[in-house]
Amino acid sequence: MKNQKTIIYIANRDEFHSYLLSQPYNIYAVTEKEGRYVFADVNEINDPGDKYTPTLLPPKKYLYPDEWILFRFKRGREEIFEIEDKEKRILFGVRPCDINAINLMDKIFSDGYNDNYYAKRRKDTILIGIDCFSPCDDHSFCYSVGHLDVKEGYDLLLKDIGTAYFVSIGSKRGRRLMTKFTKVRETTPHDIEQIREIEKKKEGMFINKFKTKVDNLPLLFRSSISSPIWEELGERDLGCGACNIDCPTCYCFDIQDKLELNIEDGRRVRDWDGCMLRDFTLVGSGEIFRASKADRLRHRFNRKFHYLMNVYKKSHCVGCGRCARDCLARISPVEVVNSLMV
Amino acid sequence: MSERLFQTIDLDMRPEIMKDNNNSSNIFRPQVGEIIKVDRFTNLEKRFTIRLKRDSLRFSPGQFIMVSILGIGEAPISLSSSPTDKGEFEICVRKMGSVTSYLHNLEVGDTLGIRGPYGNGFPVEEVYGKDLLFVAGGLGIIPLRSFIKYSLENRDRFNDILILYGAKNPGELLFVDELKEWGNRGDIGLKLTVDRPDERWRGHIGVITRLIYSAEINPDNTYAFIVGPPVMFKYVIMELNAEGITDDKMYLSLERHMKCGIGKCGHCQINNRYVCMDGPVFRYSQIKNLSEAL
Ligand SMILES: Cc1cc2nc3c(=O)[nH]c(=O)nc-3n(C[C@H](O)[C@H](O)[C@H](O)COP(=O)(O)OP(=O)(O)OC[C@H]3O[C@@H](n4cnc5c(N)ncnc54)[C@H](O)[C@@H]3O)c2cc1C
Ligand code: SF4
Ligand code: SF4
Ligand code: FES
Repeated sequence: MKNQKTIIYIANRDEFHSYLLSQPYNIYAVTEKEGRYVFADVNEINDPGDKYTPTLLPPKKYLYPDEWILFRFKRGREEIFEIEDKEKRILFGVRPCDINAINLMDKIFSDGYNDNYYAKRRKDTILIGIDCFSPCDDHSFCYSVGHLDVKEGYDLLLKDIGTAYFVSIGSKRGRRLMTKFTKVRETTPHDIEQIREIEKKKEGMFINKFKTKVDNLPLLFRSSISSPIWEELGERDLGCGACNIDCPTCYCFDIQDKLELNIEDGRRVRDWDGCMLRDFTLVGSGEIFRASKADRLRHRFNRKFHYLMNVYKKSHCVGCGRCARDCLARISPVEVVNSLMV
Repeated sequence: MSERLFQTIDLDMRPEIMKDNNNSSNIFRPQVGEIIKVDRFTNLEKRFTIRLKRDSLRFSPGQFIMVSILGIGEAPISLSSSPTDKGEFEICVRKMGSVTSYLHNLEVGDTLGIRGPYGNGFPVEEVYGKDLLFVAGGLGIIPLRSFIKYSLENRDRFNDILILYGAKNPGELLFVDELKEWGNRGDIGLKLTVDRPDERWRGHIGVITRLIYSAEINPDNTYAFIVGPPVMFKYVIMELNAEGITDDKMYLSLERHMKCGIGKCGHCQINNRYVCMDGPVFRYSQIKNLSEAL
């Protein structure tokens, strides 16, 4: 029972920020960049609050970085040098959609072979989430795919009420972080009333943008393998793979050896890759198993709403809308689902 | 009262990935292997006999390894020797691109990296007492050879054994010395065919499906193991169906682009299946309805 307790604190926003910044972690938080938001290394925390729209790249870049060095080596001698990753970090301001995406990644990388690289970074990263009370913009549909509610995965989850945060604790290390912070107070009935008001307002703000319930999607996609929609979308698709890069739940990778300029030393790296790229399925004989854009789009959406969803019982699209927001061909999961419904 | 607003969670319910991973080994670190023998089969294919420096490799027929050359990269390669050979194993490699070409330049005493074994392999024990029909096209003989050798070493565990093997021309046939041995054994059948014979060729001529047509097969007790280029599968399956062998008694080993071998990189996926984990060996009835399989 000791561990099973809901602990809520009220923390003054600025005081809490200063406290976090004084901790022995590198802090990555949401900051503005050319009119959009990004996660970046910060010296002060300036979360945009309810003005937030999903960051250009999701926070996966810290847990699963592109060009990730697996090890270094010396050519010619089978000598391998493993790299010790010592950084301890806090990700501040991660929204529910992205926390849920991380939860999905946790499962993917630990299932079967436990990915020690991912596990290490995940373990060394404290997640401080910020809850959403209203949809961030028109592209998002977190509620439609069941990813607005966040139940686990965070160390602390904040509800931003202007000058203060309601802080709920999601892990032992989250609790440790809060016990060291002395300037909190326990909630009063008035606080609870206030948060209840906000939660009430939230209802009705989010609507299901799909013409069906999320639970029906695996069946819908399964029965749409030969739908003409894939050809139609394929005509529009530019094949750039930006959607794979942007997506908080896309994790496919390539492995490559790269040499330093002395051509003796090198590194084996894991690069982000994307199923929307033509050569993704190329084999030695020259055959490409998903040769058309239609094939590749069908695969990408089936991964999100069918293949992985059948295994993990949750939509593998968290509805952040990033892929749609930055798609030059304006292909959005909402459109795809709804056009398969007719 | 606050319980409903802030749900209660068990603080020990941390994601699985964050627990007990201190001693988990590095999934991408290859072991060092030493080449102890090289045989040149053709201009393009060589066989390498390899011994791991630390361990011996335990595997079952049909599994594969990732061969690593530091500075060049990795390639998935089938294990070709019998799993009962202790201490060393064999691979047979066609020169295709960067990794495989580099491999071809290696000599006895040189080292390389090995990860694995990976994949499921053939269902060897399930077919004890059955008739085995091996259908190999081109490089398909490489993974099948591991199973064939095992079945010959344990001949009494299986009923009839028939090996059908096709290549473009006689010069492309692999493991020629062994083929002679198998042909002379008397307790198994072996039929070879080529598309383009030379003047010394005395075997069959034409596509491999013709060999099936002319073979004596007891469909009720036969399990077929088929490995070859993508185009071959469809015709072989049609021919075997015509002989009365049902889809659940045919096993295929499929090739796809592979980068990790451990179900993470996504490259090898056929619809919802991962060739590196669920395969490379699939029962035909399992994948028949997958749009991306054949
Ligand atoms: C399960 C499995 C078992 C195999 N067993 C054998 C074997 O026993 N003997 C053998 O000679 N070959 C085997 N292959 C094929 C072999 O893996 C490829 O020929 C090899 O990866 C090419 O690598 P490379 O670096 O020489 O070529 P590259 O320079 O990488 O590329 C040459 C071509 O191969 C394609 N390719 C690159 N990586 C892969 C890959 N991982 N898988 C398939 N194609 C790729 C490229 O897209 C390119 O078209 C097997 C493949 C698989 C999937
Ligand atoms: S998609 Fe939903 S959870 Fe994500 S930021 Fe927007 S409103 Fe919040
Ligand atoms: S598919 Fe698009 S909307 Fe869904 S999680 Fe990925 S980027 Fe976000
Ligand atoms: S080879 Fe990477 S998932 Fe199968």
